[in-house]
Amino acid sequence: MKTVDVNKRTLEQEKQYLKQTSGIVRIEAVCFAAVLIMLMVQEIISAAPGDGESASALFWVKLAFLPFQAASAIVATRFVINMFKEIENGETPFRYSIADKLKGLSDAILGGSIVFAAPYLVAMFVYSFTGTEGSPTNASAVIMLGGLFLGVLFKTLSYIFGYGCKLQQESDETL
Amino acid sequence: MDNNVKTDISEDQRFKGICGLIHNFAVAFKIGILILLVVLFLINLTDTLSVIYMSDIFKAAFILYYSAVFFIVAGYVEQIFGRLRKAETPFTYDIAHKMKGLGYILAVGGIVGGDIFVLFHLFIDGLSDEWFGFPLIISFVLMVVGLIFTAFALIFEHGCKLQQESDETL
Repeated sequence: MKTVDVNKRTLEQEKQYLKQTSGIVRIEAVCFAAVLIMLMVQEIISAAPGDGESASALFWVKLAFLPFQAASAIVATRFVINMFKEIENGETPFRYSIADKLKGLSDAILGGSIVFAAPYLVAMFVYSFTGTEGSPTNASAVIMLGGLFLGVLFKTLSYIFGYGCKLQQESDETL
Repeated sequence: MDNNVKTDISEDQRFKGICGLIHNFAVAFKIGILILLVVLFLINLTDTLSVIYMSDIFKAAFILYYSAVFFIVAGYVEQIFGRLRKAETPFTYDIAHKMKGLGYILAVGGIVGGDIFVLFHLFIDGLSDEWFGFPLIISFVLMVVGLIFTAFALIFEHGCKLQQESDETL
């Protein structure tokens, strides 16, 4: 396979690489949202009470939060799809609309991390106050920390995009 | 003071501040992983030294694998944001290369880990469904984020060219 030195790559070649990666990201984002929602539903079904059994607190909390989790997964996926569609179709990736979408994605991830961690946190409070048995996993901490970290990371990238937009503007004006 | 200059300086300071925060978080995360591993294995070894089940080996392998992946990822994040904090411009080929490396590690780590652990789950008794869904979610998250970072690395390379142009113009 012919490889090209990254410093010598033309803008056309770079755009081609970017288009290929963007296409994969968009497909992957849709699959991710679908699998995430499916797993959430499956988790609720497996936690559903059998005949004559009473439902646990975690089951009701998870059920209540499911629409919000699905909504936040769809919102984040939409941001990713729209952003990469614009990157794919645009002349340059450095546009203020893309920087705004990246900022929106970071907010969606920050909000999503709270919505996904909330059922476990609420269930933990319910268990500790009612003294009922059951142990919600410490998944809430992992989801929340991971989501917050990713959110802040994307926010920083959106600042860099803003700087890139200024450089692009300069370059366009020079030409 | 000129308003635009003032905004640029405060924005730059805010940006560098966030970069510093992420850099320090990555360092703390690396230390945290090591401490967590030591504590987990010390407690579990003393508890289950006599009888070790396949499910325990699965869980230990899962924790070790993802700890290694996240340790490497944290290393890349630390280097990228350490350089971003100090650099004059975010668009340097060095940072773009590091970002591409981060994207590849995340994507490959996610694909390999997801395949191995979801497959192993089918052959090991005594594991709850949670141990099927959890690796699958982590794997998908890593793949998506990895690909996003790979795309950003390509955009960064474009930014490097713009920066070069801008420097040459000046």
